[in-house]
Amino acid sequence: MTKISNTDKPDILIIGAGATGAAVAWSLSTSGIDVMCLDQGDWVSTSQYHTEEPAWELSRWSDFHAAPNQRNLPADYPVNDDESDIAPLMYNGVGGSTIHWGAHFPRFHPSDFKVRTLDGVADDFPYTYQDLVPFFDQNDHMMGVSGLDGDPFYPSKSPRPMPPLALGMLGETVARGFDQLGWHWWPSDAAIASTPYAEERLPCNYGSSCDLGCTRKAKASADITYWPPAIRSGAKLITGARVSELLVSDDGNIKSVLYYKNGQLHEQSAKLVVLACNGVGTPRLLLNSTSNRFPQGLANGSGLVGKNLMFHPAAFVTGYFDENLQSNHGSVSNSIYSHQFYETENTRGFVRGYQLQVTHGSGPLWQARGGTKGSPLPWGSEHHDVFASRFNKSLNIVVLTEDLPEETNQVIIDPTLKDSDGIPAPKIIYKVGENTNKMLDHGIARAKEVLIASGANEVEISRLPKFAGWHLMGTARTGVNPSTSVVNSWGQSHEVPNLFIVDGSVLVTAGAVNVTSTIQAIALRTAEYIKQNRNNL
Amino acid sequence: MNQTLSDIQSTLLKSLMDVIIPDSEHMPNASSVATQYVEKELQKPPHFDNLLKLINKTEQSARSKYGRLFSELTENEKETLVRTIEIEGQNMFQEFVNLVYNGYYTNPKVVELLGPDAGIPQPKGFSNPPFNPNIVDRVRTLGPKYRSI
Repeated sequence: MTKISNTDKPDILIIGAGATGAAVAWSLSTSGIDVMCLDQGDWVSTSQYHTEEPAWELSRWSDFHAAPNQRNLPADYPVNDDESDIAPLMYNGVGGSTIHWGAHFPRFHPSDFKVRTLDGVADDFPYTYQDLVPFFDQNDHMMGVSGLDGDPFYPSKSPRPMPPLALGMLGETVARGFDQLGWHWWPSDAAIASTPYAEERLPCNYGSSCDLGCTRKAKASADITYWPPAIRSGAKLITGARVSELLVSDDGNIKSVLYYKNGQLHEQSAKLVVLACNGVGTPRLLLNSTSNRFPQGLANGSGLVGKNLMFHPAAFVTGYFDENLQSNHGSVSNSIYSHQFYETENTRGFVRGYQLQVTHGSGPLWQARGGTKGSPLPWGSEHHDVFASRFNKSLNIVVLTEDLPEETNQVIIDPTLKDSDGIPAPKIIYKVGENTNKMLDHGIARAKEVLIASGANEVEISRLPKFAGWHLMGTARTGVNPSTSVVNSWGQSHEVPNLFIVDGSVLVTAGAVNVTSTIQAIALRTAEYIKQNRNNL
Repeated sequence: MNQTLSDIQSTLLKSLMDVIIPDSEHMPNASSVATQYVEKELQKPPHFDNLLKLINKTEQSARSKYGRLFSELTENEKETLVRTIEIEGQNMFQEFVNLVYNGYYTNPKVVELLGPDAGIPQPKGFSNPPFNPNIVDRVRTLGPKYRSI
């Protein structure tokens, strides 16, 4: 195939326009740096969201399915997850997975950065929670966070940009259960506007359809928060551009990248490359970029590219109540959370811990097809009675556990599977570890306890659902030792000086909370380093 | 290419849909609101072939077990028979149940009967009383619980 060589050569070439790529593009471009970004997907207009249509819920099982293998849109690439307990979820397009995320926005705890020091397992990050605080704050402002300061499980945070979202009947009901047990709970930090905010963002109206796109722009997604000011500052974003390989020059730096757009192969030069392709896409690209100098894949002298894949293995514990809780009056993923069992407690039989995250229900079809459990309600003569006892009378708690890194859990290149451009596709090999299994059992029992204390008359459990790979982490970890990490403490490859990685791949450990707030803060810290050192990179 | 059911097959399809969701005092049965959706979806592979297998299996089972056509069975007999078919062909059957649920619970008449909380979420949304800051008073008294490092 003939190749088109693009003539412009930006200072910084970012691959991936999602949560972290957008943050870096904004940070650099607003400082006057010449930025270009390639994304395999396209812009998603609010007119593409179906939440104002009668059959709105069908999109949850079609064009807005969270799993790319199920959604199968042109921008998606296949992922072989046959040998994985958990299927990776992602959205490919401008904004990345923030297009369909729930926008639950907790930070990692201070302890999450020093797991080795505190608990003797895994490894420490080469930086601290405190190092990230300025970038957490910067990111909270850009994304637009609603919340409440004063959570006893965090050091004091700067004032939240907006007050918390309403808890609703569901949130207040389960809060009483936590109070009765004397356990911790707190209103969620949510990247969702509770008041009018920033660029034409209306406050949340509690429609419980966040995962299908937010027509009000109340829910933050990187396409509406970071990209508009980045583009106004000169950042150039090329959509429909799927990168196949990173090419290196004799000095070991990246000289250019190859990408396909509308079936045509392009070569794009760059002075410095930033990968923001998520914990599956980034190792896929590095492992597909082999050369004489890097026969194991680019930046993979440690052999750790693709290794130590972490998810957040989960259980859904759902309580059913006699009264109508207006379960679908709210934001899907946000209400309250508990970190009562977050930190290590030696008597529990496992290290590290988990979050209990209370979530909302959704529409009637979601309920009929089984709600969070995903097993359809009984059909036949009992159907209407069961439906009536379930719809808007349920309350779900997600047990979100910390996953410890294990080298056997990994992303590799599938020997035969390819995407629509013929680029080799990733394969996931992943098994939930023993420590996590103990944690799941403990968490399920505690969630049941709080649901019963809240008044539930029945509790249903979905342990380790497959479609729960929301957070993709650890496959190009950060560290100071080149033999045990892929990038240094600034996200810079140990081996390829003009390569930086900013997505969830760089995480050393996973915490037990949703990761977007933390990985965006890390990405902004990396961007600041690039700005400060651009003449020496 | 459009594939169509014969009149007999179409009648059996509606009977099967009504076994999945029969009518009740307040709610319609599936065939009265979801047939158009199901028939349209059947054009997508592999739905049509799977449905034909399901229909044939249903009719054969009715004859072998009861010596009658499926349409001649009582409602209880129909449900009992379909439960045995469900066990024998789980994936195919589950696909059919999902199709019926999809058509039924996105039908405007059904949604209206379920009440305002079942409606289209946007642009109106739903209402909630505002956050009450005093609700966290007990939790604030717990004091710092994070691990210092």
